[in-house]
Amino acid sequence: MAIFFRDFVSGALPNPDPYHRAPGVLRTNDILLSATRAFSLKLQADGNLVLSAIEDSTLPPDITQGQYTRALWATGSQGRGATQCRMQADGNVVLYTNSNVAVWASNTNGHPGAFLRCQDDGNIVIQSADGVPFWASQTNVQAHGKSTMGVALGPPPPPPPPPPALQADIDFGAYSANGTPGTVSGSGFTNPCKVSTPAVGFLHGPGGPYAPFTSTGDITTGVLLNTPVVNNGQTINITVTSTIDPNQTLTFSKTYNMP
Amino acid sequence: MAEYFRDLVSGGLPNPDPYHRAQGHLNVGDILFSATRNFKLTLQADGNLVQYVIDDSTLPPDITQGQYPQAIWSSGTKGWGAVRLTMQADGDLVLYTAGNAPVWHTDTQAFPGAFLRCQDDGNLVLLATDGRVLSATNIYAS
Repeated sequence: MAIFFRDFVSGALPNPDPYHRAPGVLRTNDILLSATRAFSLKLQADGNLVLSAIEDSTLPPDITQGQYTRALWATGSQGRGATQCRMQADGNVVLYTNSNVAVWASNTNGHPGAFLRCQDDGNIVIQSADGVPFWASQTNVQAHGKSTMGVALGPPPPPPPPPPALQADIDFGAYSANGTPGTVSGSGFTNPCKVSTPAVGFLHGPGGPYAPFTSTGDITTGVLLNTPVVNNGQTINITVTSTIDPNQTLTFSKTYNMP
Repeated sequence: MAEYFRDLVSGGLPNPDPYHRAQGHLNVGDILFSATRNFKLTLQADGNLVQYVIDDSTLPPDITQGQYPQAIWSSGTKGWGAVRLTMQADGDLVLYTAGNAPVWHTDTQAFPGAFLRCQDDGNLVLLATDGRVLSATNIYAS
């Protein structure tokens, strides 16, 4: 009861073979596993040569203990006394009894040096020495009926357009207590004044933060009723924050010079 | 880019899990292998969930270096922005975008505790806690 891996060859192998290939003969209860151990080709005691898949529902954590209970393919030679499976130098794979009676053959003679491979996709393939397959069990992975795995819902809806850039332009004048216009210097201002996206403005001046104002449309000079009273030469800052994208702010700074 | 084995469950795994199962979700680049590594399921950067089979002709003696060039199943969600495959506690398996929009699901939200299994015969199945198959790709060796 020996375990071999992947290839069943007719020619000489190094001894020991580092790849654990099967040399020449599989005897009763010998097993040829695919390289990953997922599939097993075994010459059973009843004389049948059977390819089996590991049964996942019985698979323990130690996969070398997995049970190969799902048969995929067999020679159907049970009860006819086969005790050896030979990979012949002529390319034929033959099951023989103890008295050298052939009970099954792949009929692939005429391919000297061919070998049998137990593949990890579930197929058993007999191929020429240079890798050209000419016989297969045709048990490789393939569709068996319709897939019931999953329903496509379609691509996600397109992302919303980016919020419009905040455009705020605030202007206001300076007046002395008697109503005489003063001059204003600062940065960030142009004329005319407007807030073109919904925005919240906060007024900050020498006296600390002031009540915010909100606008959903254009504002003009004079709407900023909360403008604080500032002293001559003092600076106030106005920060306008977009209500759509709070990351967008604009800051204005003004210094008042009263007459 | 993490590697997991066999099952994607919604929760309740020990930490660390001795069986290397995946819990909660697979992110882009994560891999769920079948127990023996002959199949793998991965959420690609293009948003497609794809299952591959190992190619024996490329298989070196170290099977962990095997190549998986042949896709056998996909969710068909390429380009839809999926970044996360989530095994929800309610039993639904869902592909979500970064903006949490679902683009694919198994529609099994009535089966709490259901889990995804990548089987060694190639079948990808969603199993209820009692072992009942809720969804399957029905692509396997036979």
